[in-house]
Amino acid sequence: MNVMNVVRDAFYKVKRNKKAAVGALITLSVILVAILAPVIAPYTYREMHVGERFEGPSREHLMGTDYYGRDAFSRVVYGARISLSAALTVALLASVIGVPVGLACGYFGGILDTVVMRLADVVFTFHSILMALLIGAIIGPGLRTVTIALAIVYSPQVARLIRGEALSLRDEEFVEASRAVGASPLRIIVRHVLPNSVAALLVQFSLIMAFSILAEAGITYLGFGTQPPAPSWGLMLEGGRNYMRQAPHISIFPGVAIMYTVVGFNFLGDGLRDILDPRMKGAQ
Amino acid sequence: MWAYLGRRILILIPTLILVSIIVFSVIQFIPGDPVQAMFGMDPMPEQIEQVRRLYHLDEPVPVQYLLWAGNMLRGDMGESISRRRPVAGMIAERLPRSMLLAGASILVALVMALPIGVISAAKQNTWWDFTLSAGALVSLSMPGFWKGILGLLIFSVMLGWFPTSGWAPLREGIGTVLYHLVLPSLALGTGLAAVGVRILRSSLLEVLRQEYITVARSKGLTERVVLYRHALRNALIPTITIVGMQIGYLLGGSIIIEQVFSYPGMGLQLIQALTARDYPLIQGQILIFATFFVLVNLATDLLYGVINPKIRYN
Repeated sequence: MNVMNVVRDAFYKVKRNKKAAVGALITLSVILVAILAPVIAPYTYREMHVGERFEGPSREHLMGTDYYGRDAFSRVVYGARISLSAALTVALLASVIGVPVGLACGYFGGILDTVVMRLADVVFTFHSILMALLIGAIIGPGLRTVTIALAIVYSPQVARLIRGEALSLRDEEFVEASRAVGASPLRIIVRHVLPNSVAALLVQFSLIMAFSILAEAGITYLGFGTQPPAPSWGLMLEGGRNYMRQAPHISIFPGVAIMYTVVGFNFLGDGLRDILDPRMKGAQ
Repeated sequence: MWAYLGRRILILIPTLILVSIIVFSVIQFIPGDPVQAMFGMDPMPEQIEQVRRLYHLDEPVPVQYLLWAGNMLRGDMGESISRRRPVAGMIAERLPRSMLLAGASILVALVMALPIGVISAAKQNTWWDFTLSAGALVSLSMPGFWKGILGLLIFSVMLGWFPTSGWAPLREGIGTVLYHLVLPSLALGTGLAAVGVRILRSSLLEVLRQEYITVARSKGLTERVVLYRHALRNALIPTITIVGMQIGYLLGGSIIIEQVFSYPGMGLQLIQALTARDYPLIQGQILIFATFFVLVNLATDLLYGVINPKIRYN
């Protein structure tokens, strides 16, 4: 089975599955907002209007202004860039590390599998936030810290998932047939095992994007993620904390943006799972 | 059962050793001189002595680890740099508060997840099911700390129903303590509830398709008896496993919730330790968090067997 065929097949099925279609539409809208941020946002994300601090939503400032008089709508729009790029980097890194490791463990088994899976157990004992704080304690806070921490936490999840796929695939008849005609393990893995694991990976990729957006916002809220003046959603929520009485809108809109984006990825992940793995239909 | 428990504990040991090596390594990886990282450019002689005594920095690294780990095993986690107090005592003071918050959140999660999951499955593909399932997904997509902020905004700032802080000392009475806990435990527990609802719904649906359920129905049992007496017990097994695994993560999530509600638990202490670059306290905290997670997972595994006697421990 060819990887492109799987992806193309998935695309057509997404159109027919409501959950996946809604998820894809939401996700696409956020991606568009991120790309077109300079066009959509009426101001830049750091432009301060000192005389217009703490203003509520109005025609000039759709989501009001913050404590520096910056336009909250523009900051939320630009914030999509940070959230999406951070989440994408994490999901890609986790896949780049997790897929080859998972394939090797599942296909070859033995001592390699045992050692890697024990190591994965160790990583599992660290909550993503705890890992980010631990790494932050060493290299200092920042978006880089968050990205590294989340990639470390999520790559064992990918590895374990792909290992399971490889484990079940290696004894399939078509793989045995390939082995019988003398195909090398590398060729079998690349030509047969990997393409058949893409479906599971796509679902996991989407869910990792969702988790990463939540985790980045949380870690940044604690002060260990993205640093000011970058328009991170978590940072905006942190900034609103001291002004809940006078300017509650500061604490609302960035949260709505996070929720909207994460709902998109969660729906997409759920829908993709229904489509790609009918046995799991409706499962978590 | 006992043999299984013994084996599981044996597997825990290497995991915990590796976790402790990671936590220990924090000091090794700090760029530059650890003493300067903790005390600034001009450390006092007694500060240098304190760090040297705690980490044995003049010994080879493996010896440093063994000495450090030995101390940890004896419950000696060193002295906090910012507070000048034993780390173990500081953590012991905060741990019960974080456990209380976690416990209250688990309670919130159970109270919400059980009925919602059952209704959702029993009324599959109805308007009820759609609303409740979508609600669970939305709850899962909201950052816990934002739920906390919204709760504070609506119920504390606007309506004035609940206090803005999540903590009251026990001497003010158990009622006051619980009253303060409502908002933080809802913020933390509703995420867990959403996970529970989704798992319970899907496993109930799976169980309801089994033959023994058809048999139960054909015996003339009411749908209520079939659902609660026959189906729910089996559907709870995967639910407990997954929710149990999430409980370990709950402590991680509580770090942010504690910050939102200025709740003086372990999470808030960890953030303060990180800000003060109080490495002994940071290490002690993270070690306790990770150990707790490992133990919760073990407990989940054992509970799994209690609920389902069919599972043999071998």
